[in-house]
Amino acid sequence: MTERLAMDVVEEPEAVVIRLAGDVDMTNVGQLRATVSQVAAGTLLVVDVNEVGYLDSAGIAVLFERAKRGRLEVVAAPGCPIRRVLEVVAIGQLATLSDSRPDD
Amino acid sequence: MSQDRGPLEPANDALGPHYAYAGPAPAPARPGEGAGATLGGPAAGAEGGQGTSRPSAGSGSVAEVMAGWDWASTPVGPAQGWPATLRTMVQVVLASRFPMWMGWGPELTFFYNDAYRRDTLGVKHPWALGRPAREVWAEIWPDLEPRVAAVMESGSATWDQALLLYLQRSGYREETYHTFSYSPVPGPDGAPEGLLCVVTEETGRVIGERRMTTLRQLASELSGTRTEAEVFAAVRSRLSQNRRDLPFTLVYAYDAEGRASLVSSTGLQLPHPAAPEQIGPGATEAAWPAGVMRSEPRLLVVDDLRRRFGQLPAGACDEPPSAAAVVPLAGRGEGPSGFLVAGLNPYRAFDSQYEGFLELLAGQVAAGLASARAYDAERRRAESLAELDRAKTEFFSNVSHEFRTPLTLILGPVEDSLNDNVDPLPSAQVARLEVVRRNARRLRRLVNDMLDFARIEGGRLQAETVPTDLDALTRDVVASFAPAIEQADLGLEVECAALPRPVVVDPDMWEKIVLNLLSNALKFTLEGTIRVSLTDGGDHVCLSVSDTGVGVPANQLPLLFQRFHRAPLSAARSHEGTGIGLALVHELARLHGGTAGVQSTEGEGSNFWVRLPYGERGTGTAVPQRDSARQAYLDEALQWGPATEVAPEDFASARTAEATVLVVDDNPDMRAHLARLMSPYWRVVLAKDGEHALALARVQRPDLVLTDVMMPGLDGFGLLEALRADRETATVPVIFLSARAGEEAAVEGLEAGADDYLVKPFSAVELLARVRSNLELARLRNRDAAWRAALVESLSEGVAVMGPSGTVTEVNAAFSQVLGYGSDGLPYEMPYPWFPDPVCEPEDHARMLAVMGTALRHGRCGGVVPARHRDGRRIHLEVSVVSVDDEDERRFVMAVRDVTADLLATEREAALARFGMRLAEAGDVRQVQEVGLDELGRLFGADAHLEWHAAVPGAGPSAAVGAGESQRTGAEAMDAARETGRVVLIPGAEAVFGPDEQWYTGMAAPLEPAAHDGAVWLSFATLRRVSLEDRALFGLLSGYLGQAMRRAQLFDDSKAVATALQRSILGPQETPAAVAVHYAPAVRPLEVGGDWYDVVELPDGRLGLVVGDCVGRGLQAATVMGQLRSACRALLLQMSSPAQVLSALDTFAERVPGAACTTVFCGVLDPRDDSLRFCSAGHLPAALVSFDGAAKLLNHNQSLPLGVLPGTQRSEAAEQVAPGALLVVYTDGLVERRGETIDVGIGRLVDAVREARALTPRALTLYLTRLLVPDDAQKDDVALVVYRQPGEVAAARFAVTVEAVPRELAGLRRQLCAWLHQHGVDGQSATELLVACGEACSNAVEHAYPAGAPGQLVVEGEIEPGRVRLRVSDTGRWRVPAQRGEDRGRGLQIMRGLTSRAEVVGTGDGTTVDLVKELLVD
Repeated sequence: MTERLAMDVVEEPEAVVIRLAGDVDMTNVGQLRATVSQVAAGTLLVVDVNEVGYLDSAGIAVLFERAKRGRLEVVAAPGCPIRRVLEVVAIGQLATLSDSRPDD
Repeated sequence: MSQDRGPLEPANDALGPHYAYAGPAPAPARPGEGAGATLGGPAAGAEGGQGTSRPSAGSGSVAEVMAGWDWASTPVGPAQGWPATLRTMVQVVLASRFPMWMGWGPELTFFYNDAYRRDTLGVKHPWALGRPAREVWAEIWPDLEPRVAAVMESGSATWDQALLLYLQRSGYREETYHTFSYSPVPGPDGAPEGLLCVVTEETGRVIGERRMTTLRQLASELSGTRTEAEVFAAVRSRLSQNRRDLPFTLVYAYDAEGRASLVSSTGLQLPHPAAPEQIGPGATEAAWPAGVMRSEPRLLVVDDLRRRFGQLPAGACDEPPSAAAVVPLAGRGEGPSGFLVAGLNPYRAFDSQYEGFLELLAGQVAAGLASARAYDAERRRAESLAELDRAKTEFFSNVSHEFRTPLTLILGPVEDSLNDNVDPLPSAQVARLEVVRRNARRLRRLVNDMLDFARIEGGRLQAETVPTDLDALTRDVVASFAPAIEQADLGLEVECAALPRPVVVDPDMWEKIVLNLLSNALKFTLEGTIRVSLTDGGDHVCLSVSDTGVGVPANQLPLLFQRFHRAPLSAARSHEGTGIGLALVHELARLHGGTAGVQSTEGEGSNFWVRLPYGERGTGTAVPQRDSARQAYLDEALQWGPATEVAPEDFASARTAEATVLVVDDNPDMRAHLARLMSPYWRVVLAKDGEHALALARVQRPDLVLTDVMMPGLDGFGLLEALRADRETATVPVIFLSARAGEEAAVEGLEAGADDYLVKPFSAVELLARVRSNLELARLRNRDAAWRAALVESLSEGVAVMGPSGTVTEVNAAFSQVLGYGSDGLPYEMPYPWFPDPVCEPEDHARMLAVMGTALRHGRCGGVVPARHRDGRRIHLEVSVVSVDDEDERRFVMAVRDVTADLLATEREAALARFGMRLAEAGDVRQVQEVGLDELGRLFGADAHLEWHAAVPGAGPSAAVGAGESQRTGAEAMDAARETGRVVLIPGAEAVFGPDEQWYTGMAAPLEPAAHDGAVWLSFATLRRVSLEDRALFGLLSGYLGQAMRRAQLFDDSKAVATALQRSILGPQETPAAVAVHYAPAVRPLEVGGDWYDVVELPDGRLGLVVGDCVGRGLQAATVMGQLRSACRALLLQMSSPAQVLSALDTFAERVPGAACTTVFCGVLDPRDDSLRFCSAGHLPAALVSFDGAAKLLNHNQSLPLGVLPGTQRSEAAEQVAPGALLVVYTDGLVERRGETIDVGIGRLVDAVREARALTPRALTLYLTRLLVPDDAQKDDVALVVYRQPGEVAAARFAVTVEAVPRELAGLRRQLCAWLHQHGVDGQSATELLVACGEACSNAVEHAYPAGAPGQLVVEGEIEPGRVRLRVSDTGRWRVPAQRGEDRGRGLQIMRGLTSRAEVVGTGDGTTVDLVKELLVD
């Protein structure tokens, strides 16, 4: 069955912040994709993945798509489970991979 | 065709009767008919002349006209019938260029030629052709007829020269003169048939001559005239001579108001209405246009005389003039002086010649009039001058008489007093009275001279002459004057040779002559000789007095003998004198019938001479010499004494007052008098003229100058000016003493700058009072100024005073010290010389300008500005400017202080402080180097590089020096600096900016001058100057840097030593593969603490594990620890029983201070039987966790820590350690936390071990320490040993098969996750495995069974100690995705990145993904 993906979208003056929680796989990546594609290219999209337990190439693809099209910042603390995954795919080359947000 | 020849009709107009041809023009004859055939020439149309003047030039020639003329109607008949003589004659006449006419036949038919027509016939051509002669010249036929008759009858020719004939040929009755001859033309029979007239007109010549005569005679007569009356008489007489051209004339003269008065008339009988006596200036109905003449002077013709005045006298003609010309007489200055009215000859046209004549006439009259007037003015002036002269003489004469009485009354008593032997006077009074007597005598002499002169003027003085032995007398007189010449240091030569006979002279007068000349010679000769000679000149004697004096300028020579004339001579002994001396000499000479004169060359000398005739008879009687003037002259001359004065010390010694008064007067008596007056009060210095005074003033600096005004050479005014012009004497008060009385003179003196003005004679009291008050005033003024100046000078700050435009006018000593510019260079204009150079230092220059500009504008400014000392140094000034209003001027006071040293010192201090601070913050050598170079670079605006050959390896790598030229230079400079131990400058190759200034690209300094081991090189960003201070600072800072680096080096070294030392007491870093250790001391930066671990390889493959915890932490505990550890190791190697080891350690611990209460765990693992024998001395229980997750705390045999009860036997326990099981030994630093019991912490540890029991020992230690001891929370030392029992152990297994559809993925993941956790795979590793596996599963789901029929997905797993394997397999097809360009390619990247090994094997039957992950933690 499909995992429901918890997405919390907050529009800030400077950016749009999506807080993800749960697992992102091929079954529910479409939700993510849809939400992400709505953010304008010029707007900074901040995706907080600290609560994400599973992220594979499906979800990574969405991030890369976004990173190629517009501004993207992925927030993953050093202790975050999928931090290593993000490092392995070198998302930091196209987007900003940060440990935390300034006001966290 | 016949010509209609109408009669000529006379016309009348203003010019008189004249003729106009009134008929039609004669028509041309038919060809062949006219006279053309006879006369030749083309038939030409004759044009009738019609006009009132001469024939028009356009008409054809006479020959042409004649050719076309109708001769048939004339008495001569047609041309064909003419007799040969006539024809010949006609041809002769026509051909001649001389005017001719010919009459032929009884009628004397008129023929003529072109010349005649042109000159004489005028308007009558062509009417006259063929007419009878008497008709042609009807107007003069009465004159002509007799002549004609004479010729025709007698056959003899006539001759008339310049015969006056009134011709009607120009349209009016014209006065003409002709010279002509009538001669007969014989006919065939010899009798005169015709008359030939050859004629020349003489009109022009005659009239011209007439007029010229008038002018000439008038001119000559006028030249002899003086007065106006004479002028007019001449005018009258001359003008009346020419009645033809000037029938009448009138001359009017203007007076000052513009009224014209008649001054001369000719040709009219007065009174006559045409000649009113006076014409007022405004008269409009005047007879003549006087007003117009005056305002717009030009020649006017008034042509209605008859209307105005009726009939006028006719003059020489029959007709009265009908017109007159009015010509202005040019005067001197503006406007004409009058005008001339000239009636015009009615028989002449008023042509340009006539006009010219009248103008010349008027000019002469005007000139004559003008000169008459000038003469008149001159005469009147001479008269008034003479009048003035007479009045002067009379005045003097009167006044002089008045003088004599008082003089007598002065001299008399004075003489008496001086000669009084009975009651003689005290010497002071005698001196005074002598002065009185001398001056009284002088006065008397002057008076006498003037009276003499007056008498001569009035003719009342007679010479009483007697025959005199003139040479003796002369010698006598000269001798009596000699003393004065001697006193003046002049030579005297006398050449009075004996004369042949006596001279008849008035001896007194002769005396006077000689004395006067001698006196003059002495007065005007400052050095040289005076020569007197008396010579015989035949009928006269000649006295000559010559000198080598100043001479007389050439332009003064003629004036010398004039009365009252005083030549303005530049140098003389005295400026006194009335100026009548020479005039007197001249007059006296003249009275004797002689003459006086002078020769002189300016600068060389003069020679005055007097010539007297010997004379015949005396008029006087020989009288004894009267009271002679000799004494008076001598006395006066003696007064002009020598240059050396009566010694001033006579007057100087008496006084004690401080002030010095300089007295200037050319009169010695006056000097002495003034000196005597003032010396009781002040020091008196005397000068005899302006030059002398000026020199004295400069040297002696008098407090007051009292000066006469009239002096030879530099007079009072000149002296004043000179004194004021010199700064040194500009403020000295000057009092004028002058004989010129009156307000004007005083004002003039005061305006010239004198402080006071006294008039001679003055009262002594007044003089003293004025001198005193002026001195006082001056003293007050000076005191203030002196005080102010002293104050300013005393300031230690440089002070300058500036005018409104900023020009520096005053500076004090301190100022010139600061800037090098002193008061000798004043004034200093903006921009001041100490401004920075605008070219080389534009910013500095601008700054200085800005500061000064603000100061001048706002009256106040201050700041620190750069400037240039005179010697070229760059200095910094603290400048403060304030404005001061001085009366109506705004001035500024500027204070300057040299703050260069302060500024530089401050800068250097700051630089040093900052540098030191930054260096202090730096840690090791590398940091020190970085900081040091950065700071140096910043300070000097350069790139800093460093080279250091340090002995310690790994310390301070030298930064790479830039490539190329700069590199070599930099390296060279650093080498040089290092070797010499000095700062080395690298000069720039570009142009030098200023003299003595070098600009540099960089500089290098040694790091430690003594060590010669390193250098710093600065490469400047731009070419710049390097001052001494810069260099010093750089050297200093480089030294600091070197020291800091050395210190850091030492620190690093000692730290390395300490580290090494510490490491040496620690347990081994390298452990067998089954063992992993972690050690972290509590106290940083120590590497050791109170805890320890040890791993000891024992014989028989046994392994000893020790973990201990000494009391305390830090170095103290570490020293104890080290000993205990070593002891324990030694003991372990010795004894195989842990209990024995610890017991022995007890004993040892007793002897080591601080070792008591140390807890220890000591265990020995034996691989032969998988046993663990251990003993604990109060230590926390070790944890034993088997691979399947069972955990146990090894609590047995707790006993007391070391040294507490030494000698107590310890026991040991044993435990089985299965393969794959983990033994974890630790210290309390790992588990103890505030606020909880130790058991909680231990429990936490055990849980953590269980959770991650699949990890390798190494990974586990990292996992445990990360989890349990975050860096910032470590309070205690931590030691941890993890051991896994080697050997085969059953792996945990997993196998799940699901449908290869997306919905199965989550569940699969959950299952896998649970299995991993259950079997001791830590969270992070588990996540990574899940993602990798999940990736493989997703792949299979997505791609394995595309055809729609889903297949199966199998996931299998295996966990071994330290490793997890997973296999994902399907039985479908799986395209291996491309690595690049596709997102899916990431799948493999992810799998490979998260595991140790990922292999995808695809066959036709399916795909298998094998994942292996070593459980390491990094």
